[in-house]
Amino acid sequence: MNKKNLIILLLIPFIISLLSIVTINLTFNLIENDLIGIKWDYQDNEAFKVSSSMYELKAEGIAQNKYPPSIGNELVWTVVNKNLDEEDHAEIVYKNGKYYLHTVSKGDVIITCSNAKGTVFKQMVGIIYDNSAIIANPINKSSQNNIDSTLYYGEYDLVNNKKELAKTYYTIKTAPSELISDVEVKSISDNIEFTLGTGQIRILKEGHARIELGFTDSSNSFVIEFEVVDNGVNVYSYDDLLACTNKSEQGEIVVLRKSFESLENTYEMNNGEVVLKNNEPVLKQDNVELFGHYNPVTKKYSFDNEIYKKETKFNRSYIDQWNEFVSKNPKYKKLDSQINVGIYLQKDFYGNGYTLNLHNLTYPYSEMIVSDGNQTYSVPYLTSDNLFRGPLPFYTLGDPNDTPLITAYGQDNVGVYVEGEGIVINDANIKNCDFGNSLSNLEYVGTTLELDGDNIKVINSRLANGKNVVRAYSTNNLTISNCLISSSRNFLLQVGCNEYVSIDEDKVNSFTLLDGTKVSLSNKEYFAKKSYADDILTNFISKTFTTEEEKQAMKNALVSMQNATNNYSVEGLYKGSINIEDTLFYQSGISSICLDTLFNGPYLYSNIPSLIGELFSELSLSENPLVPLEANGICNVSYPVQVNLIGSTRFYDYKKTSSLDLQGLIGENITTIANSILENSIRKITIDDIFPIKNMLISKALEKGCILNKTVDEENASYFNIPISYYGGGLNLSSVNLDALDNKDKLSNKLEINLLNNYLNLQESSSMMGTMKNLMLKTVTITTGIEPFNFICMDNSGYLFGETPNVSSLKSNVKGV
Amino acid sequence: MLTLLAKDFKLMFGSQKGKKDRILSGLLNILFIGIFIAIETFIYNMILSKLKPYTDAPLAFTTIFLFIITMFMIISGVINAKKLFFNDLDIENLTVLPVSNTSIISSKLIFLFASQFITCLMFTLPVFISYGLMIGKQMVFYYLALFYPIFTFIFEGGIALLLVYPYKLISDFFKKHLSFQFIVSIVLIFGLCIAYYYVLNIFVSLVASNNIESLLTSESLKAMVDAKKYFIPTRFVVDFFLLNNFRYMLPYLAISSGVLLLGGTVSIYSYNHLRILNNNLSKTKNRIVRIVSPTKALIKKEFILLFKKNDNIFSYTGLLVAQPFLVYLVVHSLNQIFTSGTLAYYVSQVNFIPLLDVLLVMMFTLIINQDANKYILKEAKNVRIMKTIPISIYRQLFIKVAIPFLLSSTSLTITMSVLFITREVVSFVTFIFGIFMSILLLIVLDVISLYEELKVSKVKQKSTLVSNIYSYLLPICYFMMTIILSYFGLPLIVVLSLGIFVIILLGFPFFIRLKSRVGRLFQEFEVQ
Repeated sequence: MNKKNLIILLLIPFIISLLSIVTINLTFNLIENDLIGIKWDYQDNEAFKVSSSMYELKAEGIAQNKYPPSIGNELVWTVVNKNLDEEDHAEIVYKNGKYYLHTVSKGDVIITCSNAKGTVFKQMVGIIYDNSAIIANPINKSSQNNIDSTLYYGEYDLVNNKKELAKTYYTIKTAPSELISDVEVKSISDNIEFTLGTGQIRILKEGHARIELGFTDSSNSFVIEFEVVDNGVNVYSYDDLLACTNKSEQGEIVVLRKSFESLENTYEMNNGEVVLKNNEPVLKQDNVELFGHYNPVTKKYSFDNEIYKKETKFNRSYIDQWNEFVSKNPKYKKLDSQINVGIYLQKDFYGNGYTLNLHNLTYPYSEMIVSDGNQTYSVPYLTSDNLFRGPLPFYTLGDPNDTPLITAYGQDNVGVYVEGEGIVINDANIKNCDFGNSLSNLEYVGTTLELDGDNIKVINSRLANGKNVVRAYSTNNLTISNCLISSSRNFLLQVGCNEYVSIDEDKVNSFTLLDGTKVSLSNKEYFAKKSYADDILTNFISKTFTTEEEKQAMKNALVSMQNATNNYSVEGLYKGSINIEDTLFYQSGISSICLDTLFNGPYLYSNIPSLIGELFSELSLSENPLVPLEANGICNVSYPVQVNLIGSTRFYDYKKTSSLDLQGLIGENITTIANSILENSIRKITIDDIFPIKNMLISKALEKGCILNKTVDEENASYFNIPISYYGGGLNLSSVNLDALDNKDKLSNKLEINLLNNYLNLQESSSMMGTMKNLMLKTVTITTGIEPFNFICMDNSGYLFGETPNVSSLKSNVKGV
Repeated sequence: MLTLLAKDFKLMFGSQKGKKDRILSGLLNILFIGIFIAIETFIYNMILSKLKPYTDAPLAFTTIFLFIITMFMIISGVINAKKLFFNDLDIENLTVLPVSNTSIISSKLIFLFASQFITCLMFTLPVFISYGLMIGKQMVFYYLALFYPIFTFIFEGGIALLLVYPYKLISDFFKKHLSFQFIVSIVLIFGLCIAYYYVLNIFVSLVASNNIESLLTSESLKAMVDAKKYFIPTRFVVDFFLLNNFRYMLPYLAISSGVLLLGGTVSIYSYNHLRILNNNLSKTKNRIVRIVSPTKALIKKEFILLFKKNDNIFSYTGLLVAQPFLVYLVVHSLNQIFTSGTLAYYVSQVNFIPLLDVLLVMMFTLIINQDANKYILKEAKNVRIMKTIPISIYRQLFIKVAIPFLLSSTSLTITMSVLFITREVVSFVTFIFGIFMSILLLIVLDVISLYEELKVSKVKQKSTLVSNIYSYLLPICYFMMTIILSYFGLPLIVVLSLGIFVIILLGFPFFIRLKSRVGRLFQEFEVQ
């Protein structure tokens, strides 16, 4: 008997371990999957003879593995003359499910293949000839995916990590081929040298480069032309990219000459394994390189030594306090105050339309299949090898390294971090990952592009797939022009300021008390534990208010408290300005643009009401409290920033009201802990129970005529589109200027969401759970502050509903460098 | 044949206990098996529900789970077959009886099959029912599940019969070479401890780093699904029963029948061989006896009983040596599990960890000690000598109780020191109270066990009801009570001190009773 009992005793740790597996708490708002690219075998320039017969056009869409593209992703072909003043040289014929090029007359055309939605495309030049033609193509194919039609070459190549004047190679062909011996150089610019026999172009200096090739006795010619970027370095490999960025002290001007992609998009794969030939991975396309160094045997990358570590510039008071606490309590683990950066840019970046996909670095290396009862979903899962694991904390309740109760986020890890003055990002196609069919999969991938410096220009670029896609804090005169910003878990563009003013402890304010009387005290005295503010806040979180008088008295007291922590001296002192011109915003989890501010509730200032601390002290394991540190003195007001929306900036950001997902805003385990107990019993607690902005916003939007009821795929649902949101809690004096925006009449006024009003009207609950919930909701407010959140929504006219941004509109609107 | 079957039933399950005690013992066994099956079903269901979303994973997991049961069934088969075929007394009795060899062997084989079938069915049927309910199988699936043990027996029984004779030879070899047996058993126990450590360490490090869910990542489950093909032959039978896949069933039946045939031949041949040998064995052994003082002799005898008896080496003495290691592993891992992740929040409002640690230390100490508390019965016919030798019965009994008590206490102290000193798994308070309470409970249990034994007579067998209650129920009830008291804010030291008071209070009456009656009870004690 005793041996069997011993076995049961020895099994107990396993049983309890298995019990601690918690249900993954995610909202699955599936989005339509678009193609991530197009694959074809055409060169940059292809010759087609004028003929009555037709040329079949072949291409295939590249879809993410396991995520078949949705309707609207079928490939379509178009052709236009290069010179729009001439008669049509060719036309596209669609016959029996295939596309053909029908040549009509001699001349150059641009042949484009795109998905029907227009979100991806590939382009080549068609040379329609009758008797003869010269066709020159770079050995290293261009991206064929440029927004800016100008090709850029760097002045230098990196050879053994040293800069040497650049060389590039072209193949010269003729049609018919026997005319090749008749080709000669007609003219050449003075900043390059060209050897016809080898096709080598040697770059001598910056400027516009041009070579005109022609036949000895014919007027037919072919022109190779590109811009040579002064001091630019051509990047052909991942090592080149690192040498110009993370490993360069001053940075180099990057001119991309290849795409950098995920493992799956770079190499031929077989059942998850890289296909090797002569011990080398087999590339899918010649002009695509792998982002990172991958070991096919260990199946690991070596990003540890390659990424850039950047000290956070955001408020780090909490991190410092925690680390100081840990130095006295070594059983806890310190927090890193640095963020991980995939590529650290200090100079200009010329993308040439090549893709820079940081998937291998940012995306969780594993996945889990979870079910919501009806359907199964693949959810990314972090392994110990993942370096991108979510943002630094701004404030945490609990041990930040072990299931904290709640965390307000600070700065996140970044795919591409741009730091410096007057930097230009042109024709970049940057994404942090390929993420499947749910924006919640972007939880850990970080920010795609962070801009840090004055007079930065981001033009003609596509930026996509980040938790937030673009983040710009304390950037003066930032220009984002003719860009497509798409697919974020939270915001497509988050702007704010790193600078702030702290509360003046000695400033004497007049505070309203609950009985309506006033008291003049310094902030330090008033907010001290067991002082006036402590009593008022204890009253606020523990009581339900039944009469209007009670509500008003409490509101007056809280507003006077908030006014003391607010600091209006920063009003109008903009420490950041962002001009957004002709830019398209597509598919955010919350809103397209967010204007951030710091939380500044009284709890962050002096940990009042002390009742909260007393409740937390109940949560302890022996001598180890589960909330080991209540950091304080983190009550600040951010300087404001100004956003100017200009021209045909458009927001393709409709979402079902039910799909608005705030889970990515706050890190919390309250729902996880609660749902582990309540699993399969009652409805699950969600972020909307803790932070109930969603329902209030929907009600307000409905009231203000910003909800659109539409039937899509036989499903009737209500939709809204939130172009702009202003963070609340703390004082937010940032502003958005819509004066120069086309169609600004489609936007609503600010919709104010005041959590305080809501909490003063909470109904008394008879159940313990209800009481706890009320207490929790109010605790959120006294932590964040009571300033309202504001939103600007699209009206319900249906403007842009059901439409997707077409990249061709960017091509036709190219901005000069 | 029926008589033979009845005899074999006695051989397997028979004991010398009285009817009342047999019923009690039977009920306890049923209770234990019920608990074990409930835990098995719970674990299986819990994991299966997590695996449900993954294609093929439930099937792969079920295959592995049933494979583990198959392994246990083979071990159980070997032990049962040894009891049936190679019991010396049984062989001796049957040699003189006018029963055909075929009948004897048939009876043993039938009985082996029946016992294996019932055991296997008890453990596999809940698995099939759980799987069927989760996947949504038809009624016929559950009916067919009743036949699963028949198909697996062909293989399991075959292997068991094949291994039983080598097992008997090894077992006999160990009996003859006790020091060798001691070393092997210690090595074996430590080997198992290290294996346990590695597996447990994986689990605990996953829980501690909030990564326990990584067991359910696509890679892990793909590895499990891929590994399914190696679980031969279980996967053939499982594919047949769960997927109606006949493809490998015929080859399985053919190979398994071959194994069964071979196993049957080997065991029958060896059985007959031993029957013949048994007639020619003469058992004489001369020993030289050295004269020592009576107390020394008694102490030496107790050590011989503890360290040379086969059962003790694999349970009491072996586990005593392993106790510090095992307790450290379990206490350390449970502390880590309950101080990380969401579980930490659930237990944070009470002094859970120190109370749990004390409970675990008490349970381990008592369970391991239980094997040593047959003080008089293990003397068997020597009780006659105990009664007649000119040494006070109090001294004799004191030595009998004191030796295992001292050993258990020493092991306990080492265990607690390991927990306290190395990596500070337990606090000083837990260290002190863990030792003190466990030793107190150990004294109480020893007193009760001795009292229970002294009440044995020819008509009344030993009842272990009270000692079992004190070993299992009392620590668990105490733990639950202290958790409640702790929730209402009682300080840890008060709660633990209360435990000491409760143990003394509950143990004192037995001490008084034993003290006043020990002399009389021992004189009335009847030799079995």
